[in-house]
Amino acid sequence: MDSLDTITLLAFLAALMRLDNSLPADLQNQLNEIGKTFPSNVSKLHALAKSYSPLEQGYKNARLALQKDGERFRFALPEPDESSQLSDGKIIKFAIEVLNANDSVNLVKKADKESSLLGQFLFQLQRQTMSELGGVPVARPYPSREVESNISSDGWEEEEKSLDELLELVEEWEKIEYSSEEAEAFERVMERLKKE
Amino acid sequence: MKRVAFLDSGLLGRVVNPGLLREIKPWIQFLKEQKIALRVAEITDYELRRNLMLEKLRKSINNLNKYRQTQRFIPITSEAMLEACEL
Repeated sequence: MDSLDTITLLAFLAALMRLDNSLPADLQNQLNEIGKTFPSNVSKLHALAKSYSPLEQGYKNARLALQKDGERFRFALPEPDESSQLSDGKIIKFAIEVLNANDSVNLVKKADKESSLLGQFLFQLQRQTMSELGGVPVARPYPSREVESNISSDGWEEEEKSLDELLELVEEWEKIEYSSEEAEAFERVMERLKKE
Repeated sequence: MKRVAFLDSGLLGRVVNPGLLREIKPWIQFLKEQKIALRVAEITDYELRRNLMLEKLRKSINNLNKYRQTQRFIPITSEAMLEACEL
């Protein structure tokens, strides 16, 4: 794949992540056809995205952001060593899975929520393609309406029980012994979180 | 309506690592006394977990997994993302 194909593929994945619903059956079939011949027909994703309005804007935005920023986001992932990097091969393998899936939207969203390197990669891709477009914040969304409805439906007893359980856990965790290396590593974690 | 305290990733890190940062327990007791509910957004779990994984802090990750089993998380939704823009 050349660099344009890479941008097309990544922008398409980013746009899929933003869909609320699965693709219509005919569009999913077209995607599966492209998947069968991957990577020779990656450029067809461009036309496919533009043919479906819920996908089109997300795709365009993501593409603009990626073109503007090249592949910088690939290197924006905090990587302590080479062994934890997500290889191009794994990204391509995942792309093939998405293109050939019965429900591509569901698959890419599921992977995005995982705490794996692939999940991190997709999160970074999502953040990169959103933050370039007017500074949409993705770091700490506080959905107040959801919280209010969620909490007002329960009694305080449930909340109190939850806090009691947490206190029990904290007492248990206080007994855990950490090595000096672990303590230093944790300090690095806290420093990085302050900067994020 | 109850009051709600949201944990950011720094505070969540303190909660799941009380052996390293011991001041968190009185704070949780204070929340209980004041009848303040506790919530964590899914994205906060991600931010902390990613950093713990990068440092291979298995004990802390195990604690975070236990935390997930007992406490309530706020999922990331399209509605939440849009509303977050207004804050």
